[in-house]
Amino acid sequence: MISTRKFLRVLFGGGLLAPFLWLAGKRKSRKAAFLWQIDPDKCIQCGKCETACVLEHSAVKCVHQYAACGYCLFCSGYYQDKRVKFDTAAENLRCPTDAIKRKYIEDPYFEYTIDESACIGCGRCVKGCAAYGNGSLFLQIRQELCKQCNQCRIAEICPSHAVVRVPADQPYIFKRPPEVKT
Amino acid sequence: MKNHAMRSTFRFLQRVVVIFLICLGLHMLHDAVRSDQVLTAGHEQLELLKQQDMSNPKLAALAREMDFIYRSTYFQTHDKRRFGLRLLGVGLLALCILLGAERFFLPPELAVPKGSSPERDSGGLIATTICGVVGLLVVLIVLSNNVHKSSLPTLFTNDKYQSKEDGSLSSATQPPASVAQPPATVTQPPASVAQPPALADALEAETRQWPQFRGSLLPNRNALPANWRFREKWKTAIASPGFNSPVVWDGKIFLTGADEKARTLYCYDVQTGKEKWRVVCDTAPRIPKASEDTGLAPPTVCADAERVYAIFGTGEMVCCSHAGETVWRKQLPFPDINYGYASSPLLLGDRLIVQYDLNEVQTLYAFNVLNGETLWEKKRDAAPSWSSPVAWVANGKAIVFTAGCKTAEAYNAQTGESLWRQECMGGEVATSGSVRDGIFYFSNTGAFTGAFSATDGKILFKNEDTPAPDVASAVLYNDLYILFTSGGSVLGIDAKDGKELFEENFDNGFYASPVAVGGKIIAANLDGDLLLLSATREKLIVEAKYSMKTKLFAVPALSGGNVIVRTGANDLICLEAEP
Amino acid sequence: MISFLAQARFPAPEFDNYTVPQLQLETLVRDPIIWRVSTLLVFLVVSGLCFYRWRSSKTMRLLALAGVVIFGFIFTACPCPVGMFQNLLSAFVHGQPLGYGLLLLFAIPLAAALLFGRLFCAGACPLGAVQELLLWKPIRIPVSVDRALRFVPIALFLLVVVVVVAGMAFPLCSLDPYLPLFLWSCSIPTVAFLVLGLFVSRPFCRYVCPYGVLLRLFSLVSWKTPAVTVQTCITCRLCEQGCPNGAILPPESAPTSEVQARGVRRLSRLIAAVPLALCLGGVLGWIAAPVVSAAHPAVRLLADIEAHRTSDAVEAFEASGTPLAQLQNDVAQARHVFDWGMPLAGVLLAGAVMAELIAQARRRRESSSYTIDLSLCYCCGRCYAACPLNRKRDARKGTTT
Repeated sequence: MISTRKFLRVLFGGGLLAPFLWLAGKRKSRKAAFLWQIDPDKCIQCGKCETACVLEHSAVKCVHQYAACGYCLFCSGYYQDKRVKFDTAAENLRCPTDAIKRKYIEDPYFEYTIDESACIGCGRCVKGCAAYGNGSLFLQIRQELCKQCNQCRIAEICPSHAVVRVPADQPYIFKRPPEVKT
Repeated sequence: MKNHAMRSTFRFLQRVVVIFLICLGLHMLHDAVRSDQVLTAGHEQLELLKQQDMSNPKLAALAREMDFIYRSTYFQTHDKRRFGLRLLGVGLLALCILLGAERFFLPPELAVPKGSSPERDSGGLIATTICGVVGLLVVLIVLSNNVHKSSLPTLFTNDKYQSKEDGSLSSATQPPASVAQPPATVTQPPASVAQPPALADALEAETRQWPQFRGSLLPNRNALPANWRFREKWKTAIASPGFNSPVVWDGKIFLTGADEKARTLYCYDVQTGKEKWRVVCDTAPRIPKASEDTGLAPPTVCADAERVYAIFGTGEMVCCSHAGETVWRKQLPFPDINYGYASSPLLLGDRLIVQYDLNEVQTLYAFNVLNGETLWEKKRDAAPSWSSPVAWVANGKAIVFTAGCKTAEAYNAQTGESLWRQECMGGEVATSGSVRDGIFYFSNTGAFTGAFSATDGKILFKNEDTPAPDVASAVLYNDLYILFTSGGSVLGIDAKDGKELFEENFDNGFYASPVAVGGKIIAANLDGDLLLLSATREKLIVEAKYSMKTKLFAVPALSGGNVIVRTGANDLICLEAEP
Repeated sequence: MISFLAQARFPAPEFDNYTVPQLQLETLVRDPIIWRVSTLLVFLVVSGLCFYRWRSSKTMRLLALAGVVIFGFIFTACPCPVGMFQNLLSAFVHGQPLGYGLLLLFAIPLAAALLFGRLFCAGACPLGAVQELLLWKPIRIPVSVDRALRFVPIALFLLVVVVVVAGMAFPLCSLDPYLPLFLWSCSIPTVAFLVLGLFVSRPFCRYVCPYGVLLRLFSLVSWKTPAVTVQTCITCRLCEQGCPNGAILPPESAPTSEVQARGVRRLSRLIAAVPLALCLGGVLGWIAAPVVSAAHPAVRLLADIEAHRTSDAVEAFEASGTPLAQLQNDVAQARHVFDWGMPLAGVLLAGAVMAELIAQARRRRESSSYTIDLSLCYCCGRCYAACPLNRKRDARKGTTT
């Protein structure tokens, strides 16, 4: 009886060791840590990020790449499609939580800023901006909020498989990184 | 006895906490389900309302009110949930401490073996239940009244919803926007954006550069090299293959290369040959099959003073600034065409003309150079072709000439309107036409050799006897139209009536299109000879020859008295005249 | 500066007195995995000392509290060793990246189980620790129900393996009901399991946790095991009643010849039924295969496309321009995995059930003292507290010090 147990113990121990040996063999391609991130090129702004995250307020927030923004007077991420006036009245705006702030710069340009405490990551503005604007608004998982779950709940249900693992040293995916070499 | 009193106190407290936890848990469950329903329904209603006519002040007021309620409910719900969970956590912690403390301070109660009847203090149960329920009620009252209001974000101040104007945006700067206005009107670029220069100026500027396939649309004014004895100024290997020709603008050479992994637009410095930047396209959903001598990068790029435009055999288009920043990208429909897509785009000031003739559909596109938007597209019945468009520009208007395997056609570059159409072609058309003084000249073997009037498409002459080129496009030179065939014959025909005037034969054929610059013709052949030619009505004169010892497929470019050559070995070489 | 244009419909304007702000995002990476691993290691060593050396239920309880705080709230319970075997499997099958840290996280509890039994469950696993702490009034589950429910983790384990091999997401991570608790979030299963856990000892560990299957296997052959000291045991049954997990088995008197004969008959009948049971398991798996594969996202997407239904996934698929043939290929591969994997899983489950039944039939042998079923012991130390001899020893210590 004892010997059977010993034998099994050695067997199990060996089985436990095997993955390490295997991993040691494939050493090269291993990065230290991987984080979850949304690939904005794949994202279709379905709005599931808002509710799928394990956190009470999703770790997904809208971010604004100012360098790509047209500073439009009639921002299609800010105003909803059927707005009648270009003012700040609620019925004309797209954001459900009033998280986009607008600031006058010079005629006819406006700066749009995301108030992250109010942003719920629903992606409505992103959809508007992508449809009629430059696409300078896009959704990203904020790494300081994200809990790095082993299986991201958003990745699980994302219809376009846009939530991917990225190496920890490149925690964000901006739309089409520059392919410029100087 | 003291122990007993302590134990019953512990037990009592534990019970209170447990009952509190259970009630809180159930309440939160109920609340979670209900508030989710309320929020979803509320939001749907609001969205529906927003789709209504918002110029109606009553509806607008209703929308504002609903919006406010929705937002407050949203944040209240979330804060309440968060608070409830904290409370749950605290309760659990309290229970743990109570359970732990009991064991820690008191000796464990002797467990009673099975069979003997345990003593139970059943009276305590009722008391604890009452305590728990009362405690829970207190907590619920606290929850629903105070907590979330104090922790609400400050954005719920009502003045936000008074439709105030911000900045200097006064009503005067607002265009009268009607409800029926489609969203597309918003996408018009602001008028203050620097528009591309007028067409005539743009074409004039091009003649001093080398901006597209076969130089510039108008006769090129670049200086020829001081003599035809060259030395290599620099030589750079191009990273990926391509049969397109280099173009030059203000000291930058642009060309493309492509393989199945990536399509790349390269920029080199004309002085040093160093690569300045590259832009990669690798987003084509499918890679078409292209024959080996076509590849995936046959179209030559176009450049203007601001940007450079490239199209690949995969239908990918990219526009970059001269600094290498991507300005726009585009994916045209999958290019299903024998051999592979090969037509080079034509730049006409503010628009880029792309002849996209595939096996099934043939389309002529005009794209806005600023953002790649389609200005117009014309589906036509022209049979597939590999030819590039040319244009005749007069009085600020441009007529685009396209040659296909079935028809020669002309379009208004402004509107895309078809001007005329001649069903006179045949075979497989790969060469491109030439234009001068309102006449389009064209020659392709098996198709047509002759000339059309630009405005009405009248066939001015037709030559059905002379052998004609099938790769290199013929060149206009003085009053001659000179054809360079892939068999090595060079034929001069009269540009007025199409009569054959002379024929010369070279040992090897021509794939690179010849260009006429500064009263001479520059031609490159498959022997690797870079030829400087001139011609009279009687004969072709080889003025000078420089041997490169590698096949030449690309049109050489002129820049600052130097010749830029892309060789068959996919090297980029700058040839400098010897002093 | 990072610059890009998705679609430059509106070129960036040139401003007089305004510089375009740069997009700056926090690039902080949360606690490196090495902290988790080393803390786990230290924690397990301390647990081992408490359990085997000091035989103290109080310290085990404190450890559970520490486990909830450290591994639950400080390290936010995820990634945890429970979900790690999916990563390992995925790394083997799909070549997904897997760092040494995660691998260690997976292996350390198993190694500990090989040495000391299921110490990990006692406090180092935040899920186990929460359940340990919250057990208030344990109800004894009827033995037959308990035995039947104990096959659920095995079935889930096999299902998780098939599903991960088929390339779906990690289902075990969605099974974990306690994660939202540690993230201060709320979900219905969390509350349900917490409330259930007040009355049923370790409902998740015993009847759900697939990682527990591995721990169970490893703990069966562990080097050091909790044991009843036969020489001094007074067979008072207190420990048996004190164990909420039914891991302490009472002594068995020597079976009469009649009982023995019945046992032999039963055993032979069971052995004869093995092939039948395996076939049945295979058939059940085969029947379940299409049901399970319908949950695979690619399968669902293809079904939607073929039925011309619109969904977000269909929209995304069309926007991506992926050829349909590729999707069909993916679906065929996934179906292939399910078609083979589900019957195999069914056979294995049936095998596990039969093995358990046979072991039970065979177990009828004399034992004069209490024995501990290692696969059911979660090392909580309640039996130490229940044992009157232990308490006497503790009291003696108390008076001497």
